[in-house]
Amino acid sequence: MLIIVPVGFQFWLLAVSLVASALGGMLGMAGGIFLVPVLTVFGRLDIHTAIGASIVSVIACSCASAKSFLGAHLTNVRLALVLEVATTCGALTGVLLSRVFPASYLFLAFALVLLLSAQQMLPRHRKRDCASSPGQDWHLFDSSYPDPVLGCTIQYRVRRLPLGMALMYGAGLVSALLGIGSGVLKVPAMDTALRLPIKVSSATSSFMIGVTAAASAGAYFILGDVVSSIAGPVVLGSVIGSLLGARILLAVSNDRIRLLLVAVLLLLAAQMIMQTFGIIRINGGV
Amino acid sequence: MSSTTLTRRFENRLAKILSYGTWLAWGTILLGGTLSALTDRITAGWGSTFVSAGIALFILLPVITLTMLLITFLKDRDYGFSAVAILVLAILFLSLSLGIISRGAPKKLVTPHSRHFAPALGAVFCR
Repeated sequence: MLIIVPVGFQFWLLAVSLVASALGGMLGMAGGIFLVPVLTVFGRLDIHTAIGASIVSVIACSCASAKSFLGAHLTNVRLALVLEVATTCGALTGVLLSRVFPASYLFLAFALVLLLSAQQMLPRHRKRDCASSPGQDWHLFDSSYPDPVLGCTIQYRVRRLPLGMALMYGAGLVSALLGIGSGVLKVPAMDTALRLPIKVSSATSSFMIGVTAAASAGAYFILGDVVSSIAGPVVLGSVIGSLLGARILLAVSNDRIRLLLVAVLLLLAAQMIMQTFGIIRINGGV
Repeated sequence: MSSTTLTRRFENRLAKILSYGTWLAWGTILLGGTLSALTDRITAGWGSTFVSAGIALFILLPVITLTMLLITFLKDRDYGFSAVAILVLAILFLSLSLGIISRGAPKKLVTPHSRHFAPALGAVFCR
């Protein structure tokens, strides 16, 4: 299927995905959660096309940011690999569900995830110091990372892996169904279930997102949901945006960004809920 | 600890490959997009192919990551993690084959695309 899109619209797509990914990048996540609502509500794209473009941009952002996380030795690669079994299974389920879910349900599900993200994003303060080393009973996934702020190496343990795996399955499902990285679900899951330090959670989640998204993106690519004339500009903008976002993250106060993003997320959630009812009306009229 | 240094070196190598891969795929899409923008019919066709190739490369990057992990684990004779890496790769291929199987099924995608798409844009051509 070859869809020709006007050049002007392609530039709009590029600009919008740049901004969406910059917003996401400020929090160390992919911009899918901002991108899909904007593409469907303002770009008037079919939600499957928007999800197809977004899921590829999620992979691109994950790969683009992997360098900085891996370089800082924050990623727990072994743990990521094991959790990826759960997330890819979830993604597989999500792809299957996306074929049977009506579009209006997708909009509603998206609104719920947006609200959940807004809640997650509210500023929280937690301190961690060098004294939290585990001592004896070294386990397979336990690891350590160098913390430049505290100036020491922090050791950590991985707890409650089965619960973590179950939550990851859900995160993978949501990721495939809605075309988002769902880092917003993975990070809290690792935080609460596995009790990982937040930096390790973000880095490991970002690493996993690429593999999880590849499971669904591959299927969507073959199914024709990934329209090259739309996904192309979206990916181009997303990579630049995520790198810009990471730069801004270093320059601006974290709490202020978070409050701004909470407002954006709430606004998008409202739009998606309105879209849900709009879709129902349109379908009822046909 | 020799195992730690090996992991660090592996992480650095992986970071480098992902970074090169990202820019290669990005450049391919940009090239395709530029070709498409030159309104010539032939270059537009080529452009679309390049964009698709770039997108496919992005989807392949995580597969390359997993393969690198698998090779490293096999070299270390870490068969448990090798098995996990193979399992994740198998799920990815299962997902791909799922796409291929469903593709054979009657397509309902084309109509909704054009229906939701056309009113906003005014000039969208489907062919």
